[in-house]
Amino acid sequence: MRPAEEVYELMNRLRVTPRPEYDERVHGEIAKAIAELESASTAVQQPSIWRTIMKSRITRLAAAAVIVLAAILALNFFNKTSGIVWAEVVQRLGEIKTVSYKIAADIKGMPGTPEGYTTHTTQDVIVSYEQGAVRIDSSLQVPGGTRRSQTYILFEDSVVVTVIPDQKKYFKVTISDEQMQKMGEENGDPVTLLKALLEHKYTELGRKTIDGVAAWGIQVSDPKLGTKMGSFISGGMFDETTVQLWVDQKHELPIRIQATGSSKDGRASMEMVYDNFQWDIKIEPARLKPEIPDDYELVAQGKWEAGKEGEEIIDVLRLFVEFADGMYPASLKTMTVANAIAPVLKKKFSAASARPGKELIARLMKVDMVGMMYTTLERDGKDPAYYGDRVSAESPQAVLFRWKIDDNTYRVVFGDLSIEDVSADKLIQLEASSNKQEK
Amino acid sequence: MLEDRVLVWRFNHGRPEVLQHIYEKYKTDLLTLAVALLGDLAVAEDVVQDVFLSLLRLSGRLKLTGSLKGYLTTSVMNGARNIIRAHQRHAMGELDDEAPIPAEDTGPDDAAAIEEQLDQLKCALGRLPYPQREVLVLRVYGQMPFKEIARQQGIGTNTVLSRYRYAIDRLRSMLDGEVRQ
Repeated sequence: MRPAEEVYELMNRLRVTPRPEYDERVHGEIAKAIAELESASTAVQQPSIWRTIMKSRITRLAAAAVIVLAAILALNFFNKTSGIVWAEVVQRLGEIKTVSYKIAADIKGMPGTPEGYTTHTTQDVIVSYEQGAVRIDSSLQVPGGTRRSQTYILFEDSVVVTVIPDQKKYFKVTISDEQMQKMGEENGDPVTLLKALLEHKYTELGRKTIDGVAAWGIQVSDPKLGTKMGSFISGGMFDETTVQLWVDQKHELPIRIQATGSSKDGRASMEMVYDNFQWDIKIEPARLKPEIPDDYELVAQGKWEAGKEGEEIIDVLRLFVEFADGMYPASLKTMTVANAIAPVLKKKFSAASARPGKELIARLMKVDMVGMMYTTLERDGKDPAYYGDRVSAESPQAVLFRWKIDDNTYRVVFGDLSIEDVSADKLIQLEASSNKQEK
Repeated sequence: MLEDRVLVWRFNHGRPEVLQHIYEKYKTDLLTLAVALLGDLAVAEDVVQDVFLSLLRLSGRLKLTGSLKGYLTTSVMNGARNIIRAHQRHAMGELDDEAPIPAEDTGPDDAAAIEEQLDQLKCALGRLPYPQREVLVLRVYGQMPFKEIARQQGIGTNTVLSRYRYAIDRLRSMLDGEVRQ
């Protein structure tokens, strides 16, 4: 008689591989069922945590704690050396219904501040996944005073509202459904982040007592890290980013996040701490709805639509033709762009009677998103390139900015902001020609 | 396994389409399991498909106490049992000669001798009494611990171990041609 092991081995050789037509059938049935499910649930849809929380960059700012943690914790999925079951923490975060936390940051090189000035900012954030809303109470210490504002991210309305009570003003940014979905699918979901982060190195920080609580930490450092995570450190603001995450050993929930960022030229830097986390607290719905008095002025409205990132960037570059004599920012990092445009605007509108119109403010709001937009082009495989460090309006035929609009066509923006769609081969010639002009 | 937790997390957070990934990840294991339990490719395919479509209805509220693979294995086992119950001729685990376990499978070794042995194995599996076959198949293809099989079947671990031993012994005998059923 055969030994049992041989039978066992023989059984393991038996594999039934699905036929391609069966695969096709199952995938089709699943897709069909998903479509029916989504269609049926539209009317009574509870906001999907992930899609709604990722609606906007600002949402991601507010949600950063949860998202960053989910992403970074995932790094340790294959590692239990710290005694924390990291995967359990991720799962736990997924079940959280509300969270509040505090962010304190010192940021050097904020646009519009004097050289070397460090801005201190605090944010009290409350997030309700159940109600589909986020509220951020911000306090920003700048030369001459403190600016306070409240930002509300309202998922149902796909809108972000920022109210400045001291000035009786408010801003509104609408995020298109397409962009919202795109961000939800590609930009912040933990698996995407997990895969991105797993490509980077991380280190165990070991055990430490934080506020009398035993915690375990890990650290991730990578220049590209910020663009994957949202928050202040996203949007290409900083060249170097390091994030430390500390998790309460007993409850296996985050207790502190510390992030640092810096620019290569040393002009901008940031130190940020997220703490005071409170999980699953009760939040009254009224706290998550902006109440805007009738005498408050709507300063500007903005909009971000998917697939128009390139055009939006061009609109930002137009600001430099109009206000900075065609001297473009050296890079499309948000901080660089903001720092380049802030002084000229400050000068132009320094007189008490001068104030920018709503249209201009709406365009300036795009500056805040320019880094994100550029990284969106990169992430979408649009092969963008920007040469503002060596091209100005004085070189009208040099390539300033380009990105791919289809498989073999690039949209090229020249120094004078004229636009031409060219083949990949033609682009090579144009860029070679631009390089010659510089030399 | 840890990747599974992420898949389930996504699945529960507005990303039902990850079900396609889950299917791709486990389709061969589950289909092998279903075929080994049912001895009929078409029926096994339906069972596996139903498992995934049923899973979709749990989007947003899927709670796992164990592994995703364990959950899917149990789902296939339950689906197979329902089929067996509905078709009494299979209830005792006796497969008709006309309905052998199909040969659409692909073995890792192309050697003719191995192929022949696999054919014999398929026929032998189909001739095992269903309770024994289920224990053996869950153990080998579902990689399920005996204790878990006992829990799933509502029987004692010793009974599971006995069924497993009987199944292996019968299989060995059949493959050696010592038992003609």
